[in-house]
Amino acid sequence: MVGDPELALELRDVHAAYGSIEVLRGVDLAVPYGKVVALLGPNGAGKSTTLRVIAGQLAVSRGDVGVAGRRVNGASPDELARRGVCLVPEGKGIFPNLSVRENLWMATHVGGSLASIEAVAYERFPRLGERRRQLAGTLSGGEQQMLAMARALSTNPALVLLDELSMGLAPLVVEELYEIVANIAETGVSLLVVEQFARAVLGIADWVGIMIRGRIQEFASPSAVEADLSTAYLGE
Amino acid sequence: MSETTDRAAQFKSEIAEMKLRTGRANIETLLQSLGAVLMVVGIVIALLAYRASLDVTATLGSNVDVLDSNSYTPLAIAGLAISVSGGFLFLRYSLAKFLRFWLLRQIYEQRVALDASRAEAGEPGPA
Repeated sequence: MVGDPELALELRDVHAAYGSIEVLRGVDLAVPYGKVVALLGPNGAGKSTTLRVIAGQLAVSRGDVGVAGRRVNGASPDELARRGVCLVPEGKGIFPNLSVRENLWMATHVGGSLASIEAVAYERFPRLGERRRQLAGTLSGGEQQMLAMARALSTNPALVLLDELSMGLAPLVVEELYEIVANIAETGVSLLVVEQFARAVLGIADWVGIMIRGRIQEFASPSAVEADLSTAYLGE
Repeated sequence: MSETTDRAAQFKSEIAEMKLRTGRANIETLLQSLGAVLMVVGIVIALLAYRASLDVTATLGSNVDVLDSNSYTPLAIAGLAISVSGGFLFLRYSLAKFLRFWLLRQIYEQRVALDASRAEAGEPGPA
């Protein structure tokens, strides 16, 4: 059973399936408050599905999902989002035909005013402030990712789930984004970061889990995991 | 540090206050199965009502009116109503399940198409 009050997020023996295809086969994972935990693994390992389960988008078929010491199996995604669990999906999840400002407007559903949300977003991402009237679809890949993160962070989340932050971005942009992630963690936000390409995230993670075929095979410090990465990915 | 602790405490209390509607997926499966069962049960009721109505015969001195068979009509209609309601339930939850997977497939295919067009345009991939 879950219920450790020291953990922002706790998964115990979580199983989940798409129809008859079981994707998660007993996932155990813990994210302490204010820490960055990276979940790495090859394509199809079940990383994004793990995030969907935590965010309430996919039901657990067995096992327990605990948030802030409480079992939340069956909680709706909107309810979890309102309480501070925030998912930044793979592919950014922004509205390309809306301006930066209008995208941020979407975050007002949690109760904040547009002005306060814009203030928080532009303080953390000044480049977005310069492009506030520009259509989101015309921003660079890195700026679009910034917008997705800005929208997520402007809701004052306590637990952020980042899916494939580096997808489609140049290494320098990824480094810049991960610096921002590290700064966010310093403010006490707990982060679970899913990545297929490992190196970028190892520098900022406190703990790293390697996921293969629906299970976490190894959970250790970044330095301990780094040596085993090629074996984990290639199965050598 | 105290700001961090405050946010964690606020998060804990907000999650603790959350009203959970657990087992929603199970309820959906249950309602879908119930729909299938009601479809069959409704038809069985209608058939039984029909069968029973055939036994109502007017014989000399039996004091049974042939119109008594009409009393089985509401029962048969109720059976059909149950069957239609069951069919609606079954269709509703089967479609919801199907559309959910369809949506996931659309998202996946769009992502693959986006990656392919990015690669064609020569944009840098994940490194």
